[in-house]
Amino acid sequence: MGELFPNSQGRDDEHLAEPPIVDALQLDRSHNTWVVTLIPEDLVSTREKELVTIPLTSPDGRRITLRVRRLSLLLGMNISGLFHGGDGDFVFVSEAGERRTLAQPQMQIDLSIRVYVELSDIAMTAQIAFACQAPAATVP
Amino acid sequence: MNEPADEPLLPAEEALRRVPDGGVLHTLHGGLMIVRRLKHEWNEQLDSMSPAALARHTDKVRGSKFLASWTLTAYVNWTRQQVERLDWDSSTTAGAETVEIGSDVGYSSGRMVQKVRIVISSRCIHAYPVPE
Repeated sequence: MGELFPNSQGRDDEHLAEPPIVDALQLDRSHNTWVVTLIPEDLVSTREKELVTIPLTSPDGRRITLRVRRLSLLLGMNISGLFHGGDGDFVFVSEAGERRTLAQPQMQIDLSIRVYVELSDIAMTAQIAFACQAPAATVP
Repeated sequence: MNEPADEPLLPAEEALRRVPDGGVLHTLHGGLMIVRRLKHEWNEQLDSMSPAALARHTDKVRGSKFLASWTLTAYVNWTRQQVERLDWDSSTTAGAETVEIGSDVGYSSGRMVQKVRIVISSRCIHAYPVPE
């Protein structure tokens, strides 16, 4: 993913984040899956978003669980979901209803970068899972 | 559209506008939640943009945008109708459907589009304009 800045007030003609990007991440307890909508790279899909479900007990599911735990530690909240707010902005929510935004000014840039590293890995994990689950398309 | 008996009344547009990004706009019968996604909403800055700038601000990274006529009230009502039509409930697994509207609904990468994709994931529902 691209370079991280603490908010989306950068240049108008460039993105602060590049696909793959997590559009939304939610834990589906009733189906024991992570549900990820992701903004894929064009080489994977030209659609704006793709949806992938990842069983919690699968290697990818465990990887995402670990990344979410790391995000929870970094942000000091028990994260139950997150949403992409456009470009480099993200909203994290806890089961208790607490909210935190990646673009908020009080978030230090080093913390933002560490958060973004976790998000980047979740996005790539989900994108690869999507590519593996999707019907075979063109082979380069 | 009438409210189902076990569904709360939809708040006024002004109240819906106070819901934060990712927050719940409306809870449907059975517990499905229509969530707000600000990145797909029109904003005044878009009114005066050049075509090139509009294309950048409505791309997949910044999010396609519903036209201003798609108020949050309209968005919730339309989404609620689609959920009913698709027979989605709290046991529905994650999935998505594309709906042809038949009139302009918004911009995607600078192109006016007439389709909306509606997504259900872990009891949360949102929708956004798509070209295909």
